[in-house]
Amino acid sequence: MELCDKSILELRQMLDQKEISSSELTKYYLDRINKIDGQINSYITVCEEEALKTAENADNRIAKGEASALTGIPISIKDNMCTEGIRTTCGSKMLGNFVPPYNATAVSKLLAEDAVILGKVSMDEFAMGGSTQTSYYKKTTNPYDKARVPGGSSGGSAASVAAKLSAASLGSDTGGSIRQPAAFCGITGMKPTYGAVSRFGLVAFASSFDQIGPLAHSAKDCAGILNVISGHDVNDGTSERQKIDFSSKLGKDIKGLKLALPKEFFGDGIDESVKSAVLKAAAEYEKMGAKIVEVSMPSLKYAIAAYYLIASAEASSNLARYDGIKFGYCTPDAKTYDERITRTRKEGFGEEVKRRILLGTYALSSGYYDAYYKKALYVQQKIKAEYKGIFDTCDAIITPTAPTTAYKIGEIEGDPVKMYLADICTVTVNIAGLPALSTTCGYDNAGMPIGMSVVGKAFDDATVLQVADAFETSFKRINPKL
Amino acid sequence: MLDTDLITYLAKLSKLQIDEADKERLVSEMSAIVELMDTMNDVTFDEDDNSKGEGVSLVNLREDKPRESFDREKILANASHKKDGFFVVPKIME
Repeated sequence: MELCDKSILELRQMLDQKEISSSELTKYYLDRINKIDGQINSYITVCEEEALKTAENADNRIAKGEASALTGIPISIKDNMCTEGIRTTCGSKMLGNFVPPYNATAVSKLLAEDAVILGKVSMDEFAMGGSTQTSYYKKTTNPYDKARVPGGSSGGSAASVAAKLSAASLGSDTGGSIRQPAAFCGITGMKPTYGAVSRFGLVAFASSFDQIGPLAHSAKDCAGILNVISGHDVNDGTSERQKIDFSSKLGKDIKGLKLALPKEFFGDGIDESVKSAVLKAAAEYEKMGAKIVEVSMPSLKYAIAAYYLIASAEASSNLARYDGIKFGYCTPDAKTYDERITRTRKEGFGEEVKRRILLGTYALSSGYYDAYYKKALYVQQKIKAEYKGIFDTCDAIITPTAPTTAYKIGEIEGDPVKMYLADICTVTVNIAGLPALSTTCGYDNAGMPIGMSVVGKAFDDATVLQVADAFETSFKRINPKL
Repeated sequence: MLDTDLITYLAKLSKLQIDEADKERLVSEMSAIVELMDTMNDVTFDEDDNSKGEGVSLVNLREDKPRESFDREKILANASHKKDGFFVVPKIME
C-alpha cells in the first residue's frame, strides 16, 4: 500500500507513532502534485512554502504530544474559501488578483490544528457549474479518464483527492457541488446540514443554500474533518448553535434502519447503469438488516426550476459587490463611475455567471416576482414538507447522486438547460437544508465511478455517515490509473 | 416574451455591459432557460400559503458590540485605485 492510499486515521497513527513526519508527508504530496497534476490540472495555486512551514509546526506539536485529529494532514482547499495572504480566485478572472486579508472560519479551524494546506484547487467560476470547465484558470479533468469532466463545481477538490494529490479537500455545495464531483471521481463527499459549518469567508453564491463540506476517501475521513470544521461562529448569522458529533454512529449496526427509495429518483432520465448500481447497493443494505421502503416525492419535477430561480436570485444580489472598486478585477480606462462598474463586470465575469445574474435579476424584477421567485419559495416549502413526511417513518433516503457518470468534455457544457437538468438528483437537499453524502457504489462499462447519495434529517448527519460507512466497509473501490 | 429590449433592461438592472451583437444569442439562451423555469406554471398556491420563505432568523445574531476591524491598508491593498487611505472612483459629479 502506498502512502497516498492511506486514510486520515492511518496517517494520524503513522504521524503520532513517528513512522513519518508531517514534513516528509507534505513533501511527498507536493512531489506527487509536481509529477501528476499536469495530467488533471486540479491545483490553481500550490502553497509549497506555507505548507512546509505548517508541516514544521505540526511536527513540533506532534513531538510535544499535542496533536489533534488533523495536525500535519495535507489537505487541499477549493479556491472559493478565503485564505489570508494566499490568492483566492473563485475560478474567475474577476478575482484573479484577490488576496484575502483574512481566513474563512473553516480554514482557520484547519490551521488551528496545523492541518497542512497544500494549495487552492480549481472550480467552476463562482461555483456555478457541474463540470469545472467554466474555470478561468484550470479546466480540471477526471482522473479516471482525462477526456471526461471531473464534475463540479468542486471538481478540483474531487480530482485532487481521487488522484491522491491531497489526503482530503474542502469543497462547497450549493446544489450538489460537493456530491456530484465526488460521484464522478469515485470518492466520498458530504454536504452537512445547512448551518453546521460557518460560511464566513466562503465567497457567497446563494447564501441560503451554500455549505462547506469535505471530499475524502471515506465517510470516516469526512466525519473526522467535519468534527473539526463545524460549530457555531459569530461571524455567520446562519451558523447553528446545535452541536453535531459526526462520528458518533460510525461502525454501529444498521440493522433495523428504514431506508427510503423515492421512486421519482429512479425514473426516466437516469442511466440504467446508475439505477442498477444504486438498487444493488440498496439490496446490500437489505442483507445488512436494513428495511428498504419505496416512497414518493411528487414535487421533484419542479425542483430544478425552484432551485435555479432561488439560487440565481441570491447570486444576482451577492455578485453585485463586484464593481471593480473595492477589490478584484478593474477595467482599465473607464471614464465614468457607471462605465467602470458595467465594463468591469462585462470583462470580469464569464458567460455562465452572466446568465445566472440575468436570470436572478429577471426572477426578482417587477412583474415577474410572483410568477417566478415567489412560486419557487412555495415549491421549496412543498419539498421540505415532502422530505419531512418521508423522515416521519424513515431514517435515511438513498438516491443516485447524478443521472449519469462523468461525461466527455464538451458533451453538454455548452447547453445551459442540459447542464441544469443534470442537477436533478442533488438540488432538493440544498432546497431543504438537509445533510447528504455521496459514496461510490459501482462502475459503469467504461470504468467510470457511480455515486450513491445518502440523505438524512437535519442535524442527523451522524446517521448519514453511519449508513454510508456501512456500505463502504464492504465495497472495494478501484483506483484511477495515472 | 424575452426579447432584446428585455435583455437590455435586465443588463441595466444588473450593471452588466452587453454588446449589441451578444443580445440575440442571450435572448435564445435565456428563453430556453426561462422555458425550463416555466415547468412551475402548473403550480398553484393560495396567498395564505407560507410562500414568503422563512427568511433569516434574528435570534442568531451576534451581540451588537464594537469589535476590532480590519487594518485599512490591508483592505485597500486589493483595490486597484486608492489614495490617502480611500478608494478612488471616476468623478461622479461635475
